[in-house]
Amino acid sequence: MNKFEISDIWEYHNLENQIKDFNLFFNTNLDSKSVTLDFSNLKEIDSSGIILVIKYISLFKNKKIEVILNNISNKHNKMLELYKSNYVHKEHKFKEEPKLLEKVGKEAIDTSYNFRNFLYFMGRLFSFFIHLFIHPSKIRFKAIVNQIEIAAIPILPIVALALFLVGFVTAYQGAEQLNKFGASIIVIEMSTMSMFREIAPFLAAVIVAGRSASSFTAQIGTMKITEEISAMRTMGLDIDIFLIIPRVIALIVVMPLLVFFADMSALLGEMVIAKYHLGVSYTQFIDRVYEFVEIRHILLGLAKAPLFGILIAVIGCYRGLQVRSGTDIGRYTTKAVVDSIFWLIIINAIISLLSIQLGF
Amino acid sequence: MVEVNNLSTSFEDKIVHDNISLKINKGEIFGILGGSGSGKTVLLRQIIMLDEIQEGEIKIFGENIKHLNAKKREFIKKNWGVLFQFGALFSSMNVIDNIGIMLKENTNLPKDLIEDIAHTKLKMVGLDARVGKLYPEELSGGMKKRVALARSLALDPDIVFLDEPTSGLDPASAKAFDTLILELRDMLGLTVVMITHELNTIRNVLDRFCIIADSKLALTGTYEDALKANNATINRFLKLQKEDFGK
Repeated sequence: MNKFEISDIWEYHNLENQIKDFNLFFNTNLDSKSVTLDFSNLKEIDSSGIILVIKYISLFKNKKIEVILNNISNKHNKMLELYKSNYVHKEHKFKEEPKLLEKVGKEAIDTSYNFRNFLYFMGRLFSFFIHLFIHPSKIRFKAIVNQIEIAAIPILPIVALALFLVGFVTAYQGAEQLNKFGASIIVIEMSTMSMFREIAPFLAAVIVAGRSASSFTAQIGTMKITEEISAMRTMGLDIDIFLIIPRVIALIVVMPLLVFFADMSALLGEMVIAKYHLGVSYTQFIDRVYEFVEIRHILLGLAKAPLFGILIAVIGCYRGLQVRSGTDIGRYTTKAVVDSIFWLIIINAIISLLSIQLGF
Repeated sequence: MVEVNNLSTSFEDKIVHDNISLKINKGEIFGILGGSGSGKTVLLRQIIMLDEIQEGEIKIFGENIKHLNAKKREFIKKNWGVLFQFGALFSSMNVIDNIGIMLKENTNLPKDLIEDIAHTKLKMVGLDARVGKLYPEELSGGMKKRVALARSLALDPDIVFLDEPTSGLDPASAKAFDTLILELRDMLGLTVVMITHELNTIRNVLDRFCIIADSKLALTGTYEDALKANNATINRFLKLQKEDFGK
């Protein structure tokens, strides 16, 4: 039995069975001198089918077995020749998994390279800031105002709601716990202080990071792919002055305002819970805050805010400039948000410790 | 193969197509020509079911594409191939996986056969096997187009739609691409519908073409018909092309 019939229809959707038969035929004829492929009953064959036939022809040839093609029609023969002349078989190679040490080393080199790049970026930005300080006429006020509007206005409702609820919940929880000592009224200055110093600035910054850092990366990344940035460079328009510094300044301006807005929202939440849970009227609440919470607490929170703004804007823009291809945008946008929140936590913790140690 | 009847399209107050009708026969290479913004791409996108048909009807394989059940829709989509202007390769996959994706999704063929098929198609469009491992972002514009052509041919479609297949290629590659399309047509009996601007392609490859001008069809016919017609719009269009080519 060294004749195999290639008959009926050999197309991609029914090749599975043909492969089994063909494989069996191949394995039973390994000792033959020659095999015959009979095409006389073949109706339709597509490129997948032809390539399968070619694959086996070449397998037979590798075993030094002669292949005779019987009754092949002109059309099919032409097709066979066309695909045969283009047939490529590549051994499937498995990729070697890199070793742990290799991965760690690669990651370390990448990180240090990235860190150096970031420092360079910061340095250049700083020098541009000084440059703009000396030549204020070059500051793009319109772009800054535009960025402020984009960064601040849409998130006001989110900030208000989030901080109102956080103020509400912390005051409620605090009151419940302090009630055990019969001192639930202290919750007013306690939660107000922690709101002003820590929670409101941090949460506002996280919300801005989620919105602005990601949009900066996506915007600048897209501009890089569409070669807008290259075009600006060739026109001598500095991307630092046109794109990055307006965004940084915008967030420096926006963040303190937002933090103050967040402070007030949180205070409102506390006021509501104080009234309905502790029976403290709004005026009494305000009097108590006025009496026991010093102004330095709110100032500390406001002082941190521009720093957070710089951090978010710089990370967002830096990640955007790293984009090289369309697929990078999603990846770097995620990175921008994760990085900026991570660094927010670190910097916030450092400031927190320092401020307590220094007695602010 | 494809029939467009009384198609009208407008966006806001701009009329893109005004009562267009045309017929594309089996086995022919048909060109859709027209100046930029004349609605060529919109027409093509309507034929391949990406844009909505506002007025009129389009038939493919004799089926009105406005009223199709899911099964027929799938059948049609498996029997055509589309080459987008910039390739539209899947960026998360390498070249071989891009070419093999339709086989992988629609069959249970062994992986090595799919790879052989993909490699063979890759060679047919004139690319080296080493390209197979690369990702789309590592390819040049011309290579992307070739890979995209290979992908659109993976299931041996009856008809392929090409959106400016040779634009942005160097003259030698463009010529090779034209030859390839002619060969494939002769070999596989493919029907080809393409949008093109290249005069060389128009003269040497297209069997028939239509020119869209002022949202109407200025002409449907062969190159000789166009020369004979001696119509100002057509002359201007083809002459402009000649001058373009002269550069």
